[in-house]
Amino acid sequence: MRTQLVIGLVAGLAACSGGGTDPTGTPGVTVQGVECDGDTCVVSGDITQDLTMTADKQWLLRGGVFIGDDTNETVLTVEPGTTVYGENSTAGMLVIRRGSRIEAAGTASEPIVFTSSKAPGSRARGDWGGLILNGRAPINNCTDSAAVCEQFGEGGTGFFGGDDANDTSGTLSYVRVEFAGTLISPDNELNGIGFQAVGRGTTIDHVQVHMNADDGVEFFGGTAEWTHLLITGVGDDMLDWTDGWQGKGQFFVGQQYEGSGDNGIEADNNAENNDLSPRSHPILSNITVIGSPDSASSDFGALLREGTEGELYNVVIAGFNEACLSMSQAATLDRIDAGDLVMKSSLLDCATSFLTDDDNGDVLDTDIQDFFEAQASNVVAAAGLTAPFDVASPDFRPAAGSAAASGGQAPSDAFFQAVSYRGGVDPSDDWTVGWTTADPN
Amino acid sequence: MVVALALWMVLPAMAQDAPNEAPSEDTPTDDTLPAPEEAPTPDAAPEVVAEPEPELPTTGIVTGVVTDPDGLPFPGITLRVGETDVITDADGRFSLDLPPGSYDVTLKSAGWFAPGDLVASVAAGQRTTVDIPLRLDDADVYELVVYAPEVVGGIDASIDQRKESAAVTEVIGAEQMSKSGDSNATSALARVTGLTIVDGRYVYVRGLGDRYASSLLNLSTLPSPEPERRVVPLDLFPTGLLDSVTVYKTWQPDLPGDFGGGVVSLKTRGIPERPFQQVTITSGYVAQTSFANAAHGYVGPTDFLGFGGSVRALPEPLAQATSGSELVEGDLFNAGFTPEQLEQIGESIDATHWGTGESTLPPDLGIQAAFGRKLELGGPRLGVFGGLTYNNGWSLDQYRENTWDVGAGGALELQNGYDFVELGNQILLGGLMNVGLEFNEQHAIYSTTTLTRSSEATNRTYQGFNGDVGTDIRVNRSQWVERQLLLEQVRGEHTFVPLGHAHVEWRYAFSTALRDAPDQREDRYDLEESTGQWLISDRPEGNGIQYSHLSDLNHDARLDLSLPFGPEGQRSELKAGGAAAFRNRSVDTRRFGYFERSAIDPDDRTLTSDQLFDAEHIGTDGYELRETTRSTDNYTAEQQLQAAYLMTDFDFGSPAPNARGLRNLSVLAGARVEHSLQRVTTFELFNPDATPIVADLDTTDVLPAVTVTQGLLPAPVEPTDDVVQVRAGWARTVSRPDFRELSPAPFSDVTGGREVFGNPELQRALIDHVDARIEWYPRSGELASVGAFYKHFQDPIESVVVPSATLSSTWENATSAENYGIEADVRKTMFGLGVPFLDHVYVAANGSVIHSRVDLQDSGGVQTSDERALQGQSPWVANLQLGYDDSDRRSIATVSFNMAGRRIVEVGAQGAPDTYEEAVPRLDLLLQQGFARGWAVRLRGRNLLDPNIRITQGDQVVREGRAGWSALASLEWRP
Repeated sequence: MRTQLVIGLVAGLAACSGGGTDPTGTPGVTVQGVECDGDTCVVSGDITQDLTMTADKQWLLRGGVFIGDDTNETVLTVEPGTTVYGENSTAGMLVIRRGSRIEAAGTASEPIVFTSSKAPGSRARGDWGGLILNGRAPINNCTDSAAVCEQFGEGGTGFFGGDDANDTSGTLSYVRVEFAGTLISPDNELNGIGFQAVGRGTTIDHVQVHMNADDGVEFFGGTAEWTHLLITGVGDDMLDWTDGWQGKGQFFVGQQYEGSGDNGIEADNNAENNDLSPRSHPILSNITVIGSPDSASSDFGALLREGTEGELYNVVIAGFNEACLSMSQAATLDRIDAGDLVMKSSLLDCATSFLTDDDNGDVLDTDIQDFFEAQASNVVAAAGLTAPFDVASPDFRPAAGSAAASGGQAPSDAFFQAVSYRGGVDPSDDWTVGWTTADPN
Repeated sequence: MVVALALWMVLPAMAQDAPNEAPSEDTPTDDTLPAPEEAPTPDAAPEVVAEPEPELPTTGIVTGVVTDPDGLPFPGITLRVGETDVITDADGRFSLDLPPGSYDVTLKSAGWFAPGDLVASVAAGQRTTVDIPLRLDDADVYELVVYAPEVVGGIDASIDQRKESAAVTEVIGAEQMSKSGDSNATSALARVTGLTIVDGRYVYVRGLGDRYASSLLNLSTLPSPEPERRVVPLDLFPTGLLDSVTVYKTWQPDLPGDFGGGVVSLKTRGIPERPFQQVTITSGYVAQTSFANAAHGYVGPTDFLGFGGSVRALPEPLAQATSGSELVEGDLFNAGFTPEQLEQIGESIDATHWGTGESTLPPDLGIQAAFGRKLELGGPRLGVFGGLTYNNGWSLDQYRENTWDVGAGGALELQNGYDFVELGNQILLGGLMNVGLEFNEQHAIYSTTTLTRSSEATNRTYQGFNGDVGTDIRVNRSQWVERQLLLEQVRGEHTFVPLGHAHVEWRYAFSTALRDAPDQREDRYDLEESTGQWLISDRPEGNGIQYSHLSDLNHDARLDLSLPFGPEGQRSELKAGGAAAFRNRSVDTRRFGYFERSAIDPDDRTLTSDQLFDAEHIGTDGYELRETTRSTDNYTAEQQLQAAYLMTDFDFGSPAPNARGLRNLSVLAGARVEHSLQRVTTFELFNPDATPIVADLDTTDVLPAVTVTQGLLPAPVEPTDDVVQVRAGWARTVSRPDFRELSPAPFSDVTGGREVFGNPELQRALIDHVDARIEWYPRSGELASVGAFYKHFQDPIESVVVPSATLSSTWENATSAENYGIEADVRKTMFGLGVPFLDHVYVAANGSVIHSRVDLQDSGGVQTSDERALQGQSPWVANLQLGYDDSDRRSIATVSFNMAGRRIVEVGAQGAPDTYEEAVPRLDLLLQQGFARGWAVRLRGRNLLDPNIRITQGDQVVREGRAGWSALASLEWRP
């Protein structure tokens, strides 16, 4: 599915609820838009003063919560071990506006959790909104090349996009976002985390999106770089990009649950006009995406389309119902010929390896096969991961001697850690356990 | 309203005691706006005067002036002198060259009766003058003094109204609508110069979008029952209840200041002078629907009457659960429903309403009835006109629709391609009640109650490839929409003879518009290609139930004063007035859908919705009903408006001698001051902490206008001389944003389409209009005119496309726009060519060529064309009508042809071209024959060419399909 944008609800809809009550714990300091009562603090509307969410309180996002005013910097700090609840009835949601930051640095033992306001056991996909970061890095969704391209958020959140590739939106480290993805318009849900024109100055590592109704993470343009992303049980795609994302990423694991989920990777340049620039061109290494082989909704492990570029290394795709690898649109094929769409050291393990998703006949199954087979170290083979389809206690590490355990090679770029295995998890070091969850409700 | 209904019931019985006189036509009351009033000069009995006329030895001339009860010239009325028909000209004059003899003079026009026995004695070489002052007793109605028609709403009357009007107007009367076979106001308007009809219900004047067309009913503003538009869908008005539709294309200070392309002024039928009744029954074959089999949605027991809301109302448990709060499960912080309660509520929604059935469609059916009575109350007189109309029609549209994205090298690539089948059942129910109390010739009070309902059941299925989903999808939506418009208007007219014949008119109207769309159901199935099975989508769009309600309430009061002045024979007038209006709108939408609380058995996904969303599958281990109402679905809006104007229509008189009394030079000049306050409040229904978004626009403008009308030399001397006049004018008006355009809240139309959000920074646009027209009236019933116009828009409000993951649109004030064009209009009768058959033949044609350009260079947005024609504007529009009208044989035949050039239907974005609707011809035919006493049969053929209607984008087809032709037969009884 083409992923829909996530920008959020309406800026102005969210409102301030009078004077705040000492949310930071600092005597005499109150933050407009925060009301604390006992252990519970309700946050709503525009927050334009620095705020620290402490682990000793329950933080409830009521309706759209917007950090910053799109110009001046406001910093939201979330302490390790803090739980932030998105209110179900008002579709609570957290938006970091351009120029402002979230500093959410948890730890493996004390992750920061953004979750549903419903009781454990009753939680489900789409209970609340999600997390949105708006930045000032470039996007391509404009035809007028002279101007700085900005994009207006569908939900009325204001603009994102700009000309600062080194922009920062803060830090997300050891963070989980669960049961989010509420419906924002009749056929449009929020992604777990929307990275909208987020710049490479942002620190993103060890982030899990779990049971989101729409995509796990989606990158709308920008230059965001990350490591260690885990996406589990989402209702649509796991990793989605569009509108000219030019970031980097290493170590990604996605797992579909039965009955839900679409593609592992859905990669677009621009759906309305495939040739807009700057073109999507991420460099990614060590990706594992696991489908649900018997699930009708499970489509492709990776769907490259709408003119995207990109460099994919050490990708393991297994168990997708329709096919492991798919492409569409002639503009995408053109990028192969230009050498700008690359896939190396990768492994496919599905009932069907190659299947076009193009109704125009511009892309044939054989084009996809040629693309894959012509490049170095690509194999179609049994991946040999330890327990990739186990939902309750998965293990994505390659078994010793398996096809995935060797044959990997990271791109020659200082960002990337050298590896010899394929897929998102080191056979000897499982980063996906300890701080994560597999609870389906 | 209550009074009107009571009268409705009582009056027919009372009226039976009234003298039963000769049959008459109903005639309109009221409201011919730019009417220059003149001092009544009550006249005595008809006089017949013979004068010597030495130059003509073998024949003599019969001439005279017909005047209305106020003593004003009566144009366009047909007289019969002996065996010869003659029509009075603009100044009420007629003239005939006849052999000597004695001739009976009778009024042939329905609705009026010649006073007493008139005989003209013609002597060779002599001029016989027969002046005919009509009295109230001779008329069905007297208000229409200036434009008094031959047949009420007749073509000649329409032409004369246009000629006399100081403004540039187009008038289409009931006769014309009936001759064209038009069944509602929109189809009639399609035949007016410079008008295009969009979506079958919205009027574009001179190519300007519906933003620039407003509607008046009996001169009171009409609320719109459409949540996304302010324009009134004119197909709400059956022609049977209308007397005339006037389109004002130039502005003058007594019109509302929010004026762009034109004002469509609807006038309801008025009070007849004599007992009147009429019944018409219509039925017919519609090529694509009659006797065809088609899939339909749920059908309620009283749907055929247009009342289907109650069976589709929120079920009681759901209504209780959602009254003032959201349907939501309890959580750690808030109370709410338990999963078990949600199961009960979810099961209360009738699953059978998902079901679609298939049935054989009946032919269309229509019934119209009208009656009128007038009672003498010993001095004051009471008149009543009532009408009812019912129409039940079907449409079945089958078309292909594709969407295109820009692919490699700028080529368009197919994104989605669907085949649509859309069955519509439209039920139109209208009632009109006019009551008039005429105290004497100077003072009268009228009440008009209009209620029209347009209900439509639609079942739409589309199936085809979806590029996002990557497979075929099948979407079915069934909905029921009731639109209702109720207007209660009270007005009075008073002439104060001692005060220099000062004339006062006041009116107050209360109106409501409702749009109720309950229980709309939509489901989506995706094709599983490996098995060929259709599976219900697990996405939120997999199913949805929506209840939407809009109500719009209007109070509108206005007062108009006019004072004639100047020397005898000139028609100068001073006019002043004021208006105040208050408008209030609220929109309330609730959306729901079933979500998988726990995964559904994959085998169950193949079930149809009525089998799937039932008690068996709804539950804590299956589907759960959730509310999906958007936080911006609900808003209220209001507008307060105050206005005052002062204008003079100054007549510089005619150089003597001027036998036709033509106004040689007149100048209309004046100004209006208008203050408007608009406020839109969008509120989050379920977040009481949230401050509502309020957008305000407060403006005060002074709007001047001046129009000069000049009769061209040589001034006509003989009554048969042609009249040629030139008029030119300038006016400045405003165009204000619509309510929703001011609200920054994002909206998903309840009717579907791109996501849109408003712009609280919007300013009102200023429009300067320049109009010039030359008109030639060879004789009554004929005209030729050529006009040109130019409009300049400062800060026009235009829709722009803005980038987002899915394209959205908003509104901005563009730098400027302009719109100019040429219009021509010809109507020619074949009367007097010596061929008897041709005496009854006429040809009418009109056309316009329009150029428009809007500059969006400085606007944000990613629309492909930063400079383009206005959306919806056709560069040319052509109408042709060929008619035969023999009133002796009671035969009418009309062939009508209409065509408009290609126009932008959607603005392209991100390099994709704009989307155009291609020009297609439309041909309609009407045949009517009277028989026996008071009976007539009518045959109408509509859209006989049934062209393939295509919408294209670049070199690709976005949509194509045929609308279907139809043949309808009517039987009318009008004793």
